[in-house]
Amino acid sequence: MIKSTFSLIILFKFFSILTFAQVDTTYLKTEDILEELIDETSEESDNSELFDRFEYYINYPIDINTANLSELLQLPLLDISSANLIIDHRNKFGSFFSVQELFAIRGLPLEVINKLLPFIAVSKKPIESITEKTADKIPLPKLSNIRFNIRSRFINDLQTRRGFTEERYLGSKLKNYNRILIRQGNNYQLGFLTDKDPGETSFTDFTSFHFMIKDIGIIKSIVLGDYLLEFGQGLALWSPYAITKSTDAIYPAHKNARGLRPYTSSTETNFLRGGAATFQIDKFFFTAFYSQNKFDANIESESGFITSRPVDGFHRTESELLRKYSAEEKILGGVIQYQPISLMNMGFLAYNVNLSRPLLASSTLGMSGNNFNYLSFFYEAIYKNIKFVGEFAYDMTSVASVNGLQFSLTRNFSFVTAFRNYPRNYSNFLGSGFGERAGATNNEIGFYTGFRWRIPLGLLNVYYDQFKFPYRTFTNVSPSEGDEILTELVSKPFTNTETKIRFKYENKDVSQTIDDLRQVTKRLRQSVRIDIAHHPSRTIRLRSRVEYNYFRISESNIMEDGLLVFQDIRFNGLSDLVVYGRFIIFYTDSFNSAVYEYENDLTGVMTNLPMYGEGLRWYFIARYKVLKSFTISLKYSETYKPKEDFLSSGNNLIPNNLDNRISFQIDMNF
Amino acid sequence: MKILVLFALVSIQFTYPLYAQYNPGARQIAMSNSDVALSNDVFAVFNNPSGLAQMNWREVGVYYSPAPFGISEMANGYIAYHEPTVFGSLSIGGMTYGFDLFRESKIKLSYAYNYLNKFFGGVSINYHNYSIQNYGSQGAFYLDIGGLTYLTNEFKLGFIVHNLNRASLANVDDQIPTVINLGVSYDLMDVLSVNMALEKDISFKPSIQFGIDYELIEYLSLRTGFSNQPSRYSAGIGINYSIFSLDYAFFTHQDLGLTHQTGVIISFGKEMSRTKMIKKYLGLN
Repeated sequence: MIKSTFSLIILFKFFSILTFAQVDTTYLKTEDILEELIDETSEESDNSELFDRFEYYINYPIDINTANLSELLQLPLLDISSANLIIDHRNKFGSFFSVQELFAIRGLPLEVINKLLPFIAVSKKPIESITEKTADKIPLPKLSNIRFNIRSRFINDLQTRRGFTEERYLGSKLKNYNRILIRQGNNYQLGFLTDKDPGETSFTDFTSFHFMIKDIGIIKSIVLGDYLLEFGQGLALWSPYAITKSTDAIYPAHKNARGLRPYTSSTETNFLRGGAATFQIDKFFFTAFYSQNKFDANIESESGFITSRPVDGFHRTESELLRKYSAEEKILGGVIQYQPISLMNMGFLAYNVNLSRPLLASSTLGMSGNNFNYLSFFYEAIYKNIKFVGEFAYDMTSVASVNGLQFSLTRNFSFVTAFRNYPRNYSNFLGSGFGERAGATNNEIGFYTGFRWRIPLGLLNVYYDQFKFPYRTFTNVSPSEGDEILTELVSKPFTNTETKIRFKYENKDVSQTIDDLRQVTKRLRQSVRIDIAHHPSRTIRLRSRVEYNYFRISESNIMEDGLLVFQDIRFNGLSDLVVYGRFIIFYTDSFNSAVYEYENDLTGVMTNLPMYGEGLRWYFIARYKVLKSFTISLKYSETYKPKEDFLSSGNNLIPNNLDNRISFQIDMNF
Repeated sequence: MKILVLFALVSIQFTYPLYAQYNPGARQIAMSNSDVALSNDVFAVFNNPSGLAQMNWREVGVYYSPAPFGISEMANGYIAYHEPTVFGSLSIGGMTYGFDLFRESKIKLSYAYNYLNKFFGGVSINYHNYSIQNYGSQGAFYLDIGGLTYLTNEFKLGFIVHNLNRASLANVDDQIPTVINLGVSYDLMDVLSVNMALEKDISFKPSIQFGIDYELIEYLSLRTGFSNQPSRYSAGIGINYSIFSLDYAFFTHQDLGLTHQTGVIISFGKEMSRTKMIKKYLGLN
């Protein structure tokens, strides 16, 4: 497999004459946006789905001459008032001739425009002629207009984990990822992906394929192969990855559904495999989908019931291989959306899930059986600067709902609120509603309020979220609750300098064993972060951060703290070379007071690591554009904890105190 | 007696980092080593060498601490030399510490680069040698990387990572500490500089350092500072006459007591105060 990939690369190198529009600044901006959205997730993630979401807009930018308000709102950092400014400008002065024209719009904040630029485009012709043209003439694939995106990635740990030394892992240490996307104009896309995790035997352990047709006549999109569906607020149907609470107080609170999308990620679970299509007839959108997908399941040998559904996608050991694709799901459903005016959208969806084996009734998750039906109604309405959204989903037992509104009083102040109510017996299958536990969508009642306010000192983001789990959860033995506040002030005290001061307060119930009794206790966690980014010149960015974290459980006298300090440098002096380096030193009393550190990585990899214990980490990345269409990237990273004798645990145990890895990637776009 | 002192030294070094105590410069010590973002004299070579690229003149410095905490066997001395060239600043530093039974010495070579008069980057290569009489000696190479940048004409930010490559002695890890130090420096007035830094050693609690340098009159500077972990208070004076600066500093260590140190810096071609010279060279005002 590797060999053939390399020969393919060499072959393509000679053909790469076509230009590719993606410039490095696009990449750097995307990186900054992703950082804002993922920085807050308190879980270790190596998730590329979020990246793919934005990559889709880089490949198919939103046309600001034709997009309606809700399409524009799919982009982060754009609130209603800013989106309205763009549309008002278009209505007043006609079509945009260039995206640069946005800079002429009074009141549209500069940093918003800068962050939008990678994801938007301007069609060459005015609106009227485009819609007419696509209506009567179906563009046929032309060979001249074909673009290839090829990505190949190799990641190798330099330390050998226990699973390998004791030969529990059957495969090699290498992690490998390959993806080819072939696009023809804006209408056809073909994609193929293979992925191998460390310890897996086959380079095609996970494979994914899709073919997409979009925007031809009444066809909004058709996808054959692997795809994702996102509708409403995600209570019934959503992609496996949803953005949760982040330092952007406005964007995550309401979901902006993307409908039908091809699946381009390497996460091995929760996508759909089969076929789906969306048609637009006048003001109606019809979507039908069918999926038949095998998944990993642990099965009780006597009864044949599914006891659990592992989602890690690892097939390294004999037992992991045994559970691979051991059950199958069939999903059939449809969605009708009605959009009477561009500012209003409502829809109704229904689907059925049928599993080849029944789920074993479990006391905490409350799901059992092998047949599930879902109905859901969702709406979105925009009136002037107010947006209402919501969804009601019914699983034939109970109704889960989320309703919210967002308004912008002036362009300097946006406010958002959302109330969620997910009953404990709502059995979530494909949903991923907004909430405290990512993707759980059951057993939670919560109220979220947030605002973004441009004050003379800078941009202030604040949210307050209060939540309650009325029934026991996976981690807590009895009903529990909590709340959290996040405030962040981003200011520019001097030219070329941006400071971020962030404070987070979190008060949450956790289970503790006190006097041999498992009980729910209050956990307080506070953290302060000061981050200074400075550009001494256009080519250098320096960044320093200090984050302090305090953690307390008073019932069991646990008091801990943690500190993380880093210095980061990015250099993009030569037009085709970007170099990143970061040195991190940290100290925390235990995992409880871990400090998360989101870091740069190879294109398409998101790394948000919890730093705990005592030690240091540093990394170095170089991304070099050898040719206009050919980029290579290399990363070396290491974490060193002097006082430990071993790192990690179980099969992943490293028998010394150093964890280092080397990653290499090739990107070809032509 | 000497054997006892050796035991004392070794035991101190098990509780405190092996590697000579505090970075030199009587100025630096008077400000409790909060100078990572200031770094504007020749002794910066031992802490943040990037700051040397702010200086376009040759400088030589000698520093001596005769008896830290009253123990003459812990005497240490440093010398430093800085040479500005067209392709960046070069500097060299040397250190000796200890007595005939136990001796540490260090040589370092630094290079600093001035990028657009706004950003200064520096690298040092150190060779650190330890020798114990009748036991032999051990040495190690390690690398420091630092930077200093002007956020405004008055406000500076500096950082340094010591021992990036985590060199150590023999087979024991972290005998030479890996340290990150981040700080800011603000010129409240042309003659008054306020400095703050946070230092985190890989195996010790973070230390916050604070220091002030006030040039009372052209000939006289007053300095003071404090830090925690370990807690210390420091103060000092500097007498500047012609191309000579004579500095004196003392500090009290929470557990170990009082220490005095002095240093002399000769700045070739210096015509006015240090701050003014730098501002003139960088075109700030």
